[in-house]
Amino acid sequence: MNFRRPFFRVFAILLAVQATGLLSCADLLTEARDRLANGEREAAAALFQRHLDSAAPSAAIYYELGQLQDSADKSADAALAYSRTLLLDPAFTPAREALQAANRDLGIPTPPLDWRDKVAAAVPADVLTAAGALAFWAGAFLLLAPLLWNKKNGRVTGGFLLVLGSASVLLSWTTDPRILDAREVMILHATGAPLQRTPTEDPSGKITTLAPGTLITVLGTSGRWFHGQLPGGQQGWFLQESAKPLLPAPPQSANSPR
Amino acid sequence: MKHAPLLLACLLALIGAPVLAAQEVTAGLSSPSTTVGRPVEIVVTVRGVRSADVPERIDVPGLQIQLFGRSTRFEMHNLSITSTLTYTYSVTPSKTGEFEIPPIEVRVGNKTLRSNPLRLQVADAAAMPLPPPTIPGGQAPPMPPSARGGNGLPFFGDLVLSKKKAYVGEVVPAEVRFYFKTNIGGEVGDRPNLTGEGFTVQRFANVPKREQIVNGENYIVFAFQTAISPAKSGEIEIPAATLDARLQVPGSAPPGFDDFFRNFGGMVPPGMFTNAQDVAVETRPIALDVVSLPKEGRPEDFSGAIGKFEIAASVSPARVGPGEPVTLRVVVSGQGNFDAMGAPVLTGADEWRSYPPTETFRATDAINFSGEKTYEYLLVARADQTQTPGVRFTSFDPSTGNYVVHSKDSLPVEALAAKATPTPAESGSNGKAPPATATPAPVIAEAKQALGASSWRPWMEQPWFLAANAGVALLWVALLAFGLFRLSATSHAGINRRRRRSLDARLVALENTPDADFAQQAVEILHEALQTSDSPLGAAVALEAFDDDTATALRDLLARHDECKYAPGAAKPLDRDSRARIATALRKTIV
Repeated sequence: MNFRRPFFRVFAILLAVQATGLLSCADLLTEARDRLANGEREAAAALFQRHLDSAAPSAAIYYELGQLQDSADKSADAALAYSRTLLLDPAFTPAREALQAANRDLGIPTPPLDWRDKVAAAVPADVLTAAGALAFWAGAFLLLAPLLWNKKNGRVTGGFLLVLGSASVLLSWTTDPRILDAREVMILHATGAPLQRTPTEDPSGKITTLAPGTLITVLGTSGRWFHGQLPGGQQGWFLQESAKPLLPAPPQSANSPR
Repeated sequence: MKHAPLLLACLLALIGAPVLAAQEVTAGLSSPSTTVGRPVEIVVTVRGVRSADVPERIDVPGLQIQLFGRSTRFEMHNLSITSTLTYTYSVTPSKTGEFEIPPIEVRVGNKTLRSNPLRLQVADAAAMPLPPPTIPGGQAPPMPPSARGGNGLPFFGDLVLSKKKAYVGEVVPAEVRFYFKTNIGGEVGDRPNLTGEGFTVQRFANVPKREQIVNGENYIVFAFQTAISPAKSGEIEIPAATLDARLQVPGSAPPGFDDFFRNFGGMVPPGMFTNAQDVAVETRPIALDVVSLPKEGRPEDFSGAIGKFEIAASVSPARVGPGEPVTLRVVVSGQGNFDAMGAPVLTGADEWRSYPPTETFRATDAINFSGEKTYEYLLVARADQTQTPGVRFTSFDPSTGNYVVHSKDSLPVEALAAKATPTPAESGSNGKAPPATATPAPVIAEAKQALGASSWRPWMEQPWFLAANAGVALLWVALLAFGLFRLSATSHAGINRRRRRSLDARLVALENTPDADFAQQAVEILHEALQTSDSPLGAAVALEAFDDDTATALRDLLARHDECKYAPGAAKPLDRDSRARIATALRKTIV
């Protein structure tokens, strides 16, 4: 291997940069835990957040952050962290229980698990997707067998695998919480947020006050305002700065299957 | 008689206009709200008819409605004559409530016309001191002191406050009225303008247009209801409210028209000539004496509510599981400053975890003075509970000048306390899980980490996953194409197609074949076309299927071939036509 060649030089530099980034992320996490151990909750929370902003998302780290927020009596922030934990890993039972407790503190009822939640908790969505894709293509290639190798007995198995694979991918698409909750936002403002009939701050147009921790499905935006729908179907406008999206990315406008 | 055509046109217009005028009935109340025993008027206006019959009484339980006046008026506007009949009813309420007055039926000849229905709100006399309404009398209904109407004024305004003395923060219902003589047409603005210092004004609500007699003259009244809320103590001057209007004011006839009508023994009809005029109609400024709320007797938890209120409470559900919330609903109803009041206070709520209530307001009038405000408290039991907290609400009653405390006792409920959450690092006294050190939580968390996703985007939305599937799909399509091609190549039709193509090529080559080899080549083509290579006799039999010329040419070919084979050199060279004839015959054998 000749390291004097430009290609290898660039490759080596990229590797070094990547390694530095990983080390930096690991340092942040270690420091966050050290600060937490010393009782410096605010600083630890900030470091956890920096780590999560710079590294790949991790259900475990969000759970740690949620526990930290919980201990600082920031129930709404804790609920958001636990909800994100469950988006990444719906089978994370301690996070689900901690979310229920946080919701109780906030006075928000926790919706019961429906079949989508149960499927997502039973089988990770990505595994379902990968298995579905594999089965689909295996079936598709088996269907080609009579054409390519004059084998007659691949059709039934191929058709079965094709249908099974399609169903598996469809199931993954309809149960993955990262798709279902892509348009959900959570009210985080300490005193809640007014839900208005129109995107104005006119007090006479107030429908109700959204409590911290309330989850709302965003239907659209207008300036500083989100147009959202409560779980009961009530629709209204609320300020964007009073809420945070469940997914760290901005809420998508695409239709979701739920 | 040189004016005869003009006179005829005028007469036709005079006769025809009333006939063509649209017939309509409208009804309006002099005030949309009143108190028990305080009468108001219904003015029914019938346009476009010369006579009509109306009922003497209208039966509405709780209201005594009696006809007491009627008048007829003819108007002429630009050669169009309009006749208007006005009927006035007195309405005296005998009980409180909201009354629906049905449409009033007016008989015109064989037809029955109906007015619009009306709605009248009647309050207890002590609860709402309303603006003094017009009192039936037929001629000159008494006007509030601020009114300076009548006296021939074509238009004027009037601001009527429900009281002259109020408390800071109290909501004082008011009505702004603008009077226009009935012979004035035109348009008025949507709502009046009223601003000033030391008070706030609610939004204006339109009151149905009505007719009213003031000092013996007919006026059309445009009224707007609102509420004024003083913000400071002392005497506050409510300035003039103004309403913009574009009016058609009756004017004098141009020179010569008087003489023209006098020639026929008459005068210029009233309303025939009008002048357009932009005006701002004003009310008179009015003083309001404002005093501060008394400090004596003010409860510590005074909510800021000023008015007359009642409260009611309910709880749902009556039974909940551990840690589940119940909703305590408190409804404050009545009349007063709903916008400024604070929420009721929960009493005995130590064993409950409660949150700031949500609030909704439903107004029962147009100015948000009457209505009900609902507060919903979410309560979670800290320990098992059989009763909700109590509710206490304090307000100030301006009619008595005293503070009033409204209380509601606890309601029965069955609520269980939340059980401790089995979180891995649970500690602390409030059921939460503050991690004393970072160790316990990460151990469990990291154990689970391998199962959780490491991206917010699912695989099916990841570019690499989509690219991999696209690659597999391309491979599948390529294999499909290959399989179809191979299938096509090995089929009977494919083989036949290739054989025909080969024979065609050999036929083309035959044209340039030397005579010595021609017969040999041609017979080989023939056997291949007829698929009789292994049976020379079979070729002879197969030729029976062709037409005579073809069969003859091919038999000659076979004979020549035998001749060349068995007697080389004996055969004569073939001429050009013979070669062409054989080639044509051979082509017919290729199918």
